[in-house]
Amino acid sequence: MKRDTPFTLLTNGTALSWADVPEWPLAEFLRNVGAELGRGERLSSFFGVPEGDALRLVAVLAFDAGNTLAVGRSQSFSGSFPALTATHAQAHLFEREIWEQHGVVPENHPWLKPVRKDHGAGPAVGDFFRVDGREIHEVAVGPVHAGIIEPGHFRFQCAGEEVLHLEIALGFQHRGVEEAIAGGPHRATVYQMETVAGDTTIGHATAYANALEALAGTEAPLRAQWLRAIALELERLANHTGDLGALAGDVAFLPTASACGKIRGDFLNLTALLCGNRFGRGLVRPGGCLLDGDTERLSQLRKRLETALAEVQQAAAWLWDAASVRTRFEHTGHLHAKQAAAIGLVGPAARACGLVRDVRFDHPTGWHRFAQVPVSVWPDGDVFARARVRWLEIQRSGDFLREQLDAVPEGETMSSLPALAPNSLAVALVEGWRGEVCHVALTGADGKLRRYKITDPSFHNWTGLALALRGQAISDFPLCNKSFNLSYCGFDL
Amino acid sequence: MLLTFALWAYVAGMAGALVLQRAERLANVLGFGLAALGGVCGVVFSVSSLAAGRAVTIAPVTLWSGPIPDVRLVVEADALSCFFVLIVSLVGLAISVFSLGYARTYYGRKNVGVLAAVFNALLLVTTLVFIAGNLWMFLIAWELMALLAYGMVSFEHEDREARQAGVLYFIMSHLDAACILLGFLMLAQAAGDFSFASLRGIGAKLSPQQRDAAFMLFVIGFGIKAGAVPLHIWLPVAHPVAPSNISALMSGVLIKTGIYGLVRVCFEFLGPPPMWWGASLLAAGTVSAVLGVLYALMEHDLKRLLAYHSIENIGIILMGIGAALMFLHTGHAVLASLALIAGLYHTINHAVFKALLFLGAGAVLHATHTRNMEEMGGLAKRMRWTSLFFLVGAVAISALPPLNGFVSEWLTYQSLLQGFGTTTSLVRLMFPLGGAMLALTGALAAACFVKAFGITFLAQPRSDHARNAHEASLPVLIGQGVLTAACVFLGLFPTAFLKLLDPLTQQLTGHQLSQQLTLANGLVLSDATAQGGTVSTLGITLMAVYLLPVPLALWAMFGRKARTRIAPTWDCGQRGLTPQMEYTATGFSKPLRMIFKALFRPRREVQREYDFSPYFATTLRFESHMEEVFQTRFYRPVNLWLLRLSRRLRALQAGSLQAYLIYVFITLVALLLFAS
Amino acid sequence: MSVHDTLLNRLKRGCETMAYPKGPAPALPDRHGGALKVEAAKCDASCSACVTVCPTEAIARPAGKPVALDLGRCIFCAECVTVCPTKAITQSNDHRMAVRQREDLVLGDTGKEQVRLAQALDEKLRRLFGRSLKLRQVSAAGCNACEADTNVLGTIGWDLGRFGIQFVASPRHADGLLITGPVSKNMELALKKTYIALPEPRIVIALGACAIAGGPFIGHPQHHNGASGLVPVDLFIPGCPPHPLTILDGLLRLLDRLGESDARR
Repeated sequence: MKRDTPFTLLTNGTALSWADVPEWPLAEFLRNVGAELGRGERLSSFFGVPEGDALRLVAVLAFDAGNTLAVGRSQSFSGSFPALTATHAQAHLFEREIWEQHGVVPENHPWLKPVRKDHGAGPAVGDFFRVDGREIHEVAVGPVHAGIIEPGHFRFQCAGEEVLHLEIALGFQHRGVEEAIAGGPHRATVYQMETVAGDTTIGHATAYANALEALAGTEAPLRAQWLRAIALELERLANHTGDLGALAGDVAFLPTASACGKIRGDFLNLTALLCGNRFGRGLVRPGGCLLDGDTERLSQLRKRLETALAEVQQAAAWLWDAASVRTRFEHTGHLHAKQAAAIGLVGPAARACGLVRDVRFDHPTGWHRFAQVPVSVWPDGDVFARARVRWLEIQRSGDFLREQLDAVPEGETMSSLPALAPNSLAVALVEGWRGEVCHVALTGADGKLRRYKITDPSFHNWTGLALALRGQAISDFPLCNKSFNLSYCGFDL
Repeated sequence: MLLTFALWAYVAGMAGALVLQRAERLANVLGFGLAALGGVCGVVFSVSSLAAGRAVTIAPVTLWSGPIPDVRLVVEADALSCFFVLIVSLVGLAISVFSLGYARTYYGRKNVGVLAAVFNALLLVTTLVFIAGNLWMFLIAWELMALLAYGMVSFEHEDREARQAGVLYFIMSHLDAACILLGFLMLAQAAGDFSFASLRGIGAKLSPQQRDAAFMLFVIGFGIKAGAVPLHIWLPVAHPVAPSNISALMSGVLIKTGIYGLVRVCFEFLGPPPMWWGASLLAAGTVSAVLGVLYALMEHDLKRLLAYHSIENIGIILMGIGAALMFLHTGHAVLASLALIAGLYHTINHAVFKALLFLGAGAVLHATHTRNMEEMGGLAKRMRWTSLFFLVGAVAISALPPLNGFVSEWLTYQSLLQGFGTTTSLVRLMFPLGGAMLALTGALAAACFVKAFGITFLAQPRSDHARNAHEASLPVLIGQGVLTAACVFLGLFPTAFLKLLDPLTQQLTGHQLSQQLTLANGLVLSDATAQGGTVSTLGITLMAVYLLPVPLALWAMFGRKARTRIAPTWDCGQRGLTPQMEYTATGFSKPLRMIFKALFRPRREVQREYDFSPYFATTLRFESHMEEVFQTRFYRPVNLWLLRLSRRLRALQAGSLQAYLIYVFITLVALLLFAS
Repeated sequence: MSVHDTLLNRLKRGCETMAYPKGPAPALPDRHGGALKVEAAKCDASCSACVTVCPTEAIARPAGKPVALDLGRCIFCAECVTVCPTKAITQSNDHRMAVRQREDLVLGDTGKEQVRLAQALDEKLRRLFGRSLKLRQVSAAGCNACEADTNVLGTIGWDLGRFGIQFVASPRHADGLLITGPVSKNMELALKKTYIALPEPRIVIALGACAIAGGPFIGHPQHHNGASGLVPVDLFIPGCPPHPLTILDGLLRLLDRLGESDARR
């Protein structure tokens, strides 16, 4: 579907020369971006590229309906810029991040607070928003909160048991990933990419590999792309199973909780069967896949997959049957489709609000150009919908894996990567199990990475959790949090 | 003798305080000191009289006789009077001592001499109400009591809230005076005489309809005074705005005059009661108890919370008295005595612990300059003794053993539970239902005091005033201490106290129960039945004391090696906890507000302001209100109807002389016809 | 789904908890590789291929000295194994890697080809924690993989609870701290506060390459390169992430719950 747009269109997993990225003066650039967002397109990434003392803004838009991406950039400027957030809420975190990383002020930004940097031993957001009223008390949870879980701070404004407002302060896990890549790729870069979000190793590694391959002007061999798709779905299976188990555990439904805990380990062991590491470390590399699977290994994988899928089927059947589970899940943590679209929600959380958005479907790259996974959507927007979408995705990923493991492509799995093209921009999107992973790579004149922007799906989705809690009872917070199950370190980088 | 001395002490205190108005300190010491002296005399008098067991302590004495025949002021004291004189003297004594310190807060601001004088006057007239021997004395003392209390409610008349509360109190008091007056006139007409002696048993001479009408009038009149639902609307408005010592007196003593009146009238004057009298009192008591505590739970104003609790406890007292009347009807005199004892024991208990709580609230109010619990907190560390006394009062009012509230509620339960077998009519269902509702109020009262004590005294201070609070002065603490000691005594030694109630029940129901209620040499309290429900608060306490060496020994053996390290409260690793993170009083009661939504009809309002996007609010404001059900659904319509009626009647005030002359003529003709 | 079906299903499945440590340990995935083994004698004096290829600079070849591989910094990418021409560095397929002292993780010297495994706690602590160890996990900028593998230890297959080891929500209820992640500057206060909130006696376990030495992000200014600089660590468990079997082995070794059959060194 072609339509008039001033932005240059770009397919997922390809690169273009920096000079070919359309450039406008700042105000016009922001107007154009705003116009596209107003037409219902999505902001995949929005960041700044420093040029000396000045800054240039780059926007990567996702035209889901047109199955294409669009890029554009502004001319250099310094000081401040009119905030897009004033009219389009999905830009809010990006603009706060730009302010924090580069110092330019988005004017009229309704919520200008730091994102990750800590100003003096406190959560990044500084003073928390307070609700006026005599009956209001705050509940402050974290960073060290219950469970074996990453750190984050949640500030609730409550009237009794009802949550009026939730403000989430992250940044506790800021390790400086983007800063470390500059001038790279270095020796440690690919290992850092694998641990951006440790449970989305395949997702981020694939995006990194795709970006570098696009910059080098090549593609990974087909068998490697096939292997990457297999590993991606195995990662999805493991995490969705774990999520169903955790949700069941939160409502004290132990049959599913204990069963899924074990089955998740089984899925992780399937990934370990492929590459030795339960999370897929050491498998995906720019240029292909480091390890291969012979027939014996793949048939073992197939067999063990069947067993695990049958077991998770049983465990989930218990879950959907239980009335006690349904009462807790239904109408809890509700998010409207309109809200989800406005804040740019991605992944299963968005699909659970009825939005049809999936990178494998909208922007297929790699093996997903040849084999489709149907998009799993559920309209309600509550915890039940998010659990249900996960269940559908388990089933569909299982079908996909069966299909693919029965039709193994031939060929090598690794090819050497040529040098990266200088002064080029590449965008790679991958549908990680939480949602859209977006890597944008920009090389300099020397062919080294001048700027690398990582947008984890959690970057879009944490706002969704904050909205979903409004009007809920605070005792439902762990359940809602688990139903989103977002990455803290993927956000904090 | 002693009682006369006490009365003269009050008079002297009143006069002295008025004369020395300008010398604040002297007025304070003299006025409240003499009040305390009078209290001591009153206590000694009443205890000795009750212990002596005489039916009549002071035979009718004419204080004053005027030129008009039948207009005399007569006093007499029987067991019932002595009991209530004990209440007023004990509580008055404690409050007087408290006021010695509390009145200092009014130095330079208000007239302490007037405060002390009116306080003495209140004690005087209340005592006179209890020892009144004829209608004139009773009604004059009653009216004076209402006027003086009105004056005290409006003491801080600069405050609009206090003025409005005073007006409401004034109107309700006169409504109740009117009802009582009508009722007494009906009785006096049948007796032909105004003295109480001739009114005894007069109910037999009235027709059943007249008796019922009189009963209704008395119930409404004394009910207003006592603060029973739905006649209670003045109580939570008037008690909070008065100075705290007056609030304590009002809640502790003045509302008991309504109970005194009801007991006197129903048990002595009106004769054998039909079933519906007791049943209606039991029902009214149950409703008052439940509603009182429910509304108390929703309050965040400390004194209003305590005022609603007074309504609840009056309800419990009425349940006891209603049950006693029902038992009189069915002929179970022993049970009637038991129920009456339960009601009266709860009367003195409530007087004691409610006064204690109000005194504590007064100390807190002075320290933090606010009645709003949401601005308090952290006072336990800053006001150790006050918080301890308040805690004892809270435990007592929650009816937890081994304190006094538990004893009287236990007696009430026993009488209610045994009521089921006394009759075969459906009315007997009221007993277990009442017992269940009583259990509900007990639980809710405990919840309410967890909130009241917790939010006020525990955790961190929520305001600068609370942060800078300091302990109250010595007289304030001593006053609270006296009442605390009384709570403990009444709780641990019920069997000893019950002996004092013997002459009372003998006079009113014809039975002396203390022997049957006491087992094991006074250690155990029994409920005087064959099934033998028993409890021993003293035993519980003694056992706890005897067992205390065990954990102490264990600690000495094993615990001393443990090192203690004081570390900050775990806060999830954040920068630190702030008072904003403490639970609010309204938040605490929110789940109950949701459960009883139909009663409270809460309305909530969320205001969201945003500049650009509704997802990013600039301000968010939350407010919730509750509908005042009785005001809007009963009193307001009645008021409106009355106003409409009076507007119509205004037509009579035509302003023309001719019309008025015709009125005079019509009246004259009517009178002549009527007289003939 | 009736109770009947559920019970039948449970009976059919039987007990799903593994027999280890009363039976043999489950096998590591064949491509896992396990711990590294350094035989410095096989090293070529002029070769430093492993040094250049290691992403976390875990291998050093000081002049005249044999090669030194710091297993605490190692993220087990096995690049050095692939690139070594003389097979001086190999993988031993051994899942046991936990140590008590940081120095025990540096391999290469004679006698230190493989890790010197952790000794149990001293008798007093073993008496206190041997049958009941409650741990508070703190993720100080961990990537969630170590957390996931710790979580899996609580599932029915591994069942950490049968050893009396449990993860608790409040450090006041805990006996020890389990730290993952390189300890970012933003988490420093929280980690210190959690440590202070633990009642004594307390132990600290550093789990994963990040918590020991900074992991893949070693050297970044945004964090402290591991927990050792902030709190005293009693047990180091290397890996990226350590396999659940390695974690379990480390914990049981600390509490001396493994039995003589597996005691080594």
